[in-house]
Amino acid sequence: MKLPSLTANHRTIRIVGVLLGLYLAMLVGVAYVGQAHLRDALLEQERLSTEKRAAAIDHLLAGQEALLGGLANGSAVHNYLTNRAAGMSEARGLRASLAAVSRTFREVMHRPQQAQTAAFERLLLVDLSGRPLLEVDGNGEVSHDRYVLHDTQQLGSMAVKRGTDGLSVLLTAPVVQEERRAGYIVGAVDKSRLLATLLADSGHIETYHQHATALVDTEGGLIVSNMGADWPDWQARTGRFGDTVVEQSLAADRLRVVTIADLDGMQTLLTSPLFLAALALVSLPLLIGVSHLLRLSNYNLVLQTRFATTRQQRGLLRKQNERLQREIDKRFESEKKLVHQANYDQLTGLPNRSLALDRLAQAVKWARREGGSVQVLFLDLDRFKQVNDSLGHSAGDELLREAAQRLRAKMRDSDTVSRLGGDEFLVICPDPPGAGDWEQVARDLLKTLSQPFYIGDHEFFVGASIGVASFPEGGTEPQRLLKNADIAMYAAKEQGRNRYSYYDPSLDAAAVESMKIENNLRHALAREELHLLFQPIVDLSSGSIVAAEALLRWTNRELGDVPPDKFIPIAEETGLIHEIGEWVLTEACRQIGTLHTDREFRVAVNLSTRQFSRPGRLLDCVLSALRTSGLMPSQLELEITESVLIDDRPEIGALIGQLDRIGVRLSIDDFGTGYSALNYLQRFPFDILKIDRSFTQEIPDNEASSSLIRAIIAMAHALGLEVIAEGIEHRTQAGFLLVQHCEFGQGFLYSRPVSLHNLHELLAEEHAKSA
Amino acid sequence: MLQTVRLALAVCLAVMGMSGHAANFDLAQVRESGVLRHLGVRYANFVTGAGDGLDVELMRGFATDLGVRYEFVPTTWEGVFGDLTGTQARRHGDGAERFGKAPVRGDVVANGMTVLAWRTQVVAFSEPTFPSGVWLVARADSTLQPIVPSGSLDHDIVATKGQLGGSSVLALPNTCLDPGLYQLESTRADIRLAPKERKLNEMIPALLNRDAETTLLDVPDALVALERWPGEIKVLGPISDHQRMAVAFRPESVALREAFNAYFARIRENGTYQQMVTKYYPAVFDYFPEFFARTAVR
Repeated sequence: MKLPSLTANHRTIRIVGVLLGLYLAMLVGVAYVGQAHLRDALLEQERLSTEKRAAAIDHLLAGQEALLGGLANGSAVHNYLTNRAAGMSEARGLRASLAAVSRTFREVMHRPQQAQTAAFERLLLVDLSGRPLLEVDGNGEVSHDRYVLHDTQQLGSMAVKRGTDGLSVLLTAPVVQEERRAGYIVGAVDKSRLLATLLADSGHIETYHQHATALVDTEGGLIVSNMGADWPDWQARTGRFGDTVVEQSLAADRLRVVTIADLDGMQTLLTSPLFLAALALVSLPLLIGVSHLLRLSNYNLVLQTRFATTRQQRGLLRKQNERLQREIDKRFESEKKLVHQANYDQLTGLPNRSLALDRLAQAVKWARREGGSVQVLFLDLDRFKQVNDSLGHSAGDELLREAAQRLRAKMRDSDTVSRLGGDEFLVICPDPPGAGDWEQVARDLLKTLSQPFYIGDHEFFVGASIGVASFPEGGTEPQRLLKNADIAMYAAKEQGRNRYSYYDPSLDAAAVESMKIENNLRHALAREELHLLFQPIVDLSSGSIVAAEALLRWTNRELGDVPPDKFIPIAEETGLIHEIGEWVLTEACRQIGTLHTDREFRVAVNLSTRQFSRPGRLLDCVLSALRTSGLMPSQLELEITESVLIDDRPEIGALIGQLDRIGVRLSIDDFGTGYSALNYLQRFPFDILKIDRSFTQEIPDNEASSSLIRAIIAMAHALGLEVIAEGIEHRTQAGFLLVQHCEFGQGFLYSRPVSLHNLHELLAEEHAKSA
Repeated sequence: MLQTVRLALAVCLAVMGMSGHAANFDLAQVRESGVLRHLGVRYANFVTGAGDGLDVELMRGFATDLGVRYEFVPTTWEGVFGDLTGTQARRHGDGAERFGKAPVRGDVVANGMTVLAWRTQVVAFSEPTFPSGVWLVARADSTLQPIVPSGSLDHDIVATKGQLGGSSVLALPNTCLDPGLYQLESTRADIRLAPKERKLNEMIPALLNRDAETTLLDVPDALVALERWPGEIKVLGPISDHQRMAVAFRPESVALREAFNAYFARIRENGTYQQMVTKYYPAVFDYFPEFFARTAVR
């Protein structure tokens, strides 16, 4: 808020107004006092100046008198007067003497005008009676018509005489010969020199045009003045306001210097009373201005308060807007990121499966509309798994990124290179340049991927298999095209990898499917596509559920539900069975361990023949599963097929012995379908014998089967084994088996394989009934 | 006989040639020789003897005008005509007397020489260059009184001469102060001729030395004397009529004289001559204003 500062401004203006008023009052006061002092000072200055001028005139006159005395004592004058006294006539001799005097006079008058030089406008030589004998001015002899000098006694040393040009100052020096006066020399002082002397030291005063000064005689008659002929007017005006007359007499009171000074006029504008008055008047509008400013300031205070509030609100709004904008940007970015994540593979930056399928759909739509074609290349890296297994996932990721870059680099911008998942890539080329070019494209891709990959310090040769399908020959629907390209890819792999194959309807679909199963199965565990179902095993005599057989199920996103008889063999063939088997064992124990039944509930887990190829690993797995699940060893039944025992390998025997010692129950599965060598039953510590469903399903109607079952049961009992009959679907079958003292049975009659949750419900239901 | 006639003719020609040489040394010869020889006697402010003087400046200017070098040749009142013309001459009664030969030493005489009748028989004068006259001057303490001017020069001369009865007067023969020129013998004055060696300049000192009560003095010299000895002498009155001074030439040097006259007219006209006069005789303008007017021509 600016309010405090506004109030401060308001106060400042008040203070400034008061200070301004005080300042102006002080200024006027000081100027008034100063003016009075100035007037006194000017008057004193005038007096001094006048005295000085009078002294200068006095000095000039004294100098001229001395000069005149010199002339009176000069030889020229004396010669003349002597010759004259000797009676010489002017025509013969006397004129020469007079001419000498004349020359002397003119020489004196023509000397440079300096302080002590002659300042005469006329020089006269007069006899004792006052008759002029010679009168010269600066140009030579002149007639004796200017001055009338009758009585030389009245001349004295200085006199003021009226001549034809007004009053003049006349100086006189007697010429004395033999102690008697022989004549006089009279000098009329040059008026211009008098005026110059009068004004010599008053240069600064001359600037005041009101200033007037004059040299007058005792009667006030004007001799010289800087006002010239206007002097009488000035004298007449001396009574007026502001005029001051200053006088100074000189030359024994025979002359006076008079100055009429207009002191008020001599003062400068800044010190004049008018200026003072103007100054005082100026303060009025200033004070009015300050009060007006004060009023405006009040008004401004309100306005500025409103303005400050508005500005504050506007600031807040702006901040909120900015925050909102940031939020919008963030969301936009987030959405963009989400869209990207939804459509692009995070690892390689390529379009993902979803976007690739969309692009494929668009391309097919376009090709259909425009009559063009689309090439679909399904690409799978050949030895990616080895890299992943040996160097870890980060190396695998690095390999995928590098492969993606190489593929992208080889294709046009209009083509789509996408990653479907794992090590599978899909390349879509809408409107390829020409038929048959797909081969070139495929060759290029193979070539670039067959170049070695460098990951860390390792060099890898990976290679790829490519399947190609074209619209419309290889399919007119996007899904079809994709599938056919996939088939073609498997065909290429089948043919020996690192090659390409064009889709041909004649390709062996089964082989292809097998390959696909294998391929997908590799990722099944990682993708968590496997799960377990449990088929209850029932005590035939009581009908209660005493155990459950864990059954493996696989639901692939592409293949859908794959029956175990399809994928188990493949798993065994590829060695995946070890991992899958371990997962099943561990998971079955874990899940059953969660049931918490009040009796010893068992879980039966099938073991593959292949799993026995690594007996140590299997044993470790069993122990681990028991430990982590908390099951008693007696709660675990391991179902083994006859084929395991055929090789009669000692390590398998040892394993079975170890399992038995641990307390794990062993059952011989699918009994009757294989060799059914009875010595195995004797040699290995089995606890249970499971009759294969193929026998069960035929009883009791098929005599042979019925007899066989009776014999098997009898034999098992004879060997101390309990018997479980699989595949019981009808009550008659159950009844038959019960009659034969078969202990346990499983089949659709009792329950299909169910989820753990359903198994739990079944057990709870059974518990409720018994209770 | 024929041989005698031839010899006589040759001698005549030789004599004529010699005399012709002197007589014909005119303007052309002056220019050819490259020098103007100025014969001068020290006198008043015309030839001061200190290397300057009115006539010295005048002749120096003339030489410059001719484009030749100036050379001053000092001479005396007695020898001046011989030095100029080759024949010595002096006054004899109202005329001139030639009495001997002398080597020609100069081309022109200028030293305030007054134009006198006998002199015109010996030399040829230029246009007048200076006004003159002869006054009677006495010591200041003399009992003789200056005459009162009557307005007539003749009356004044008579009145002045009338003062001389019984008084002694100094004079200098063969000059403008020659008493014979002014018939002083008839005044019964005690005429005291100055010795031959005396110069015109020495008349006033002789007067103050009481060699005589009065002295004759020409006007230019009197003007100088009045300034030089103020209050010690006084002018009593005129003795002579108006006189003029001029520059003297050999009668044969017609071209040279005419050249001078032309030069003189020019410097009078342009004021140069008046400046020269002002320098040496400042008071003379008051006495002879009309003579020194630029346009005035006698």
